[in-house]
Amino acid sequence: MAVQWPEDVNKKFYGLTTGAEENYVEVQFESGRKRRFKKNSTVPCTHSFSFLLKNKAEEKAFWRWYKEDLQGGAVEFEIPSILDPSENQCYMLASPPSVEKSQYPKEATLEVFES
Amino acid sequence: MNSSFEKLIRRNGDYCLPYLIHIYGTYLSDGSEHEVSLYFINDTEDLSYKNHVYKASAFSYKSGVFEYGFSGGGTLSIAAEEENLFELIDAGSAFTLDVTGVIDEDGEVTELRSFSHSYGKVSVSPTQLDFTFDKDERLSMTFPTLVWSAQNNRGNS
Repeated sequence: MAVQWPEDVNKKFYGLTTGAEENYVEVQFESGRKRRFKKNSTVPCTHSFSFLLKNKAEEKAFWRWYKEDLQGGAVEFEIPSILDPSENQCYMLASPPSVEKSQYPKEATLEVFES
Repeated sequence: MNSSFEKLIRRNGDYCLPYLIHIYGTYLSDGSEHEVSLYFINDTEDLSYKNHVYKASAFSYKSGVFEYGFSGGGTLSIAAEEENLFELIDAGSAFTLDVTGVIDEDGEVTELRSFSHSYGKVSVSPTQLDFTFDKDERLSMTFPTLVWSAQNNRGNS
């Protein structure tokens, strides 16, 4: 079940990088043509984006959400789709979040994929 | 060789990897019999096929080696997300795995009939269930009845 984005953390994302997951398995022998077989009907996109944690309360709320609601990345979360904001989309974290800079606002970066 | 399998390998890259599987059986619980009928597809989207919704799931199915047109068994590893599967195993009940089809490049389903397994072993872990299905036991007979003839067993006929 997808969890919602924390209310106390802003959604002003920036620095978006979008990619996609590989969706084929290739068969190739010593000679002859390469054949590719499709893995899935839909190709999940991957995204990397950042947002600013303005103060200590916001940073605390973000980590509480990551540790408790998101259970350290075990479950998916739902936000307006990054490619089409008119619809909601479920995402999973591809790697644990990172928060940089020692002073506020701190820059948090998430890497996600469509689940 | 099995005709469906032959059909599969003759095609060149037309097939996708998702399989449609149907797991069904009964188990006893609280003194009554419960039926389990589960439809899964190893794809990212659910699929409706022949009045059943195949739920997008995480599993890997590999067929065993076909011999003389008999099923050579197979393996199924499936993510442990369906409680009913655990109940089937926990109750030690008989159940059957039918691989009902495979998706082709256009998204259409090609029906398979020969990939059906009922007997085998299963190992359970918190994250996945690993089934190893046995080959058709007639293959263990000295003279498999359906392929035996005086021609292929001259010394023994």
